[in-house]
Amino acid sequence: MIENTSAGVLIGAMNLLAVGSPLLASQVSHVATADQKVEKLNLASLKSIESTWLKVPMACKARNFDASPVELESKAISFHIQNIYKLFEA
Amino acid sequence: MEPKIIRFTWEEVALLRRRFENLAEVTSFDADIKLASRVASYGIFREIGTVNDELARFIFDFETAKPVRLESLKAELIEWNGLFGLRVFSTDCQRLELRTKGLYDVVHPEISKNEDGTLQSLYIFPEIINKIAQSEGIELVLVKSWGANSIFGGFDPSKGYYQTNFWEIENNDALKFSNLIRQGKIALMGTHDLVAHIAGLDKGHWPLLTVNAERVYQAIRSYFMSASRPSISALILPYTIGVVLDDLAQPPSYSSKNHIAVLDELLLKISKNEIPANLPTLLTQFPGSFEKIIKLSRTPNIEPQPTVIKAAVSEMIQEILKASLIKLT
Repeated sequence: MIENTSAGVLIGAMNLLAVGSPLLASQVSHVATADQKVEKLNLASLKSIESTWLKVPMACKARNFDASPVELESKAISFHIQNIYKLFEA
Repeated sequence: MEPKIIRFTWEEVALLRRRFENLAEVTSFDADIKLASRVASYGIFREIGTVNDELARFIFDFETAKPVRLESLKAELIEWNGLFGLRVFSTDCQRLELRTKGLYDVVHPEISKNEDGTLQSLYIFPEIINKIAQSEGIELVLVKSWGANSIFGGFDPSKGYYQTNFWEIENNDALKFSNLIRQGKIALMGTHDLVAHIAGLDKGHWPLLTVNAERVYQAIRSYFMSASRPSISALILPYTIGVVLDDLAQPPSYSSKNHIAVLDELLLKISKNEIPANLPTLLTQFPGSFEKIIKLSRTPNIEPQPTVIKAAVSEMIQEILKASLIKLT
């Protein structure tokens, strides 16, 4: 029956969790320690690379618009954008 | 009706910040257009006239045909016709001209203009820009972690914040950015977003852009599958990929073959895991060849020279490996 099967699966899963939990806890603890170690190394890395990082031109870094001012041929906005602005008229 | 100037008290900024912090990591403008308008306007407002202002170099004095002085650019938050936005103006000049494609589209055409067609101010309304983006099939969003880093974070408008900080490297920002672009989403929270990604938006180029964003997203995600907390050494290549993808998402570089050629090589390299993602390392210097790679990606007609691209990318990998001290204990 569905209920018994479901209960059986649930109990089985809980047994697995109960058996596995010391192992699970130690694995979680191990990962947390390793992450903390990487975090410390990363802080040290950022300090270490700062002088060479500052030599990189701003134009090459993230959040930079790779474009120069241009002579515009037309300042007119398109018909469909004009219509969008009209939607917001009082 | 004249626009009404709004001056946020510190309590109002604090309230705006709290409302922003209560949002999900990515929130569509449509979910709360009034809040999004305030956040976007405030974000742009904070950058105007500072070293982080990406609009400034495209705002010209009509008479001198030169960019207005950065120091002359000011902004005011405003309300007009039920819309929240901002006014950008120069204290030096009342006849302005914009010198990048698409920028006129995101400035209100009626209230910004003088009778001779020059601009006395730039009136910008994120709610209207949201509609413009939607008409191109793009969804504007707020990104909580980005805003926490800039608008509501340690951003000091007087300092070259984006120049000096490592935030995008440390936080593997390329993954988040590619995830947004592959879904047809763009953030609007500062001058970079407005001038680099939204002005000149063209849905015709987005099918290819979303394909490339998907490739980037899957490649970086796959690379870090085994590394819950990657080292800085492992984060340089994704950062490089992110800069190239950001360029590709800018209208002047839409569908750029040179960018795509460099992206192809970077994605090939990341798939080879030559810098192990989960190895604990101390990086001693930032690779000088990073600049070479970005410049190559911006070099027209570089794509028929794949060996040049391969050599530059390999050089960066080798630089990173040589500069990485492995710390096993």
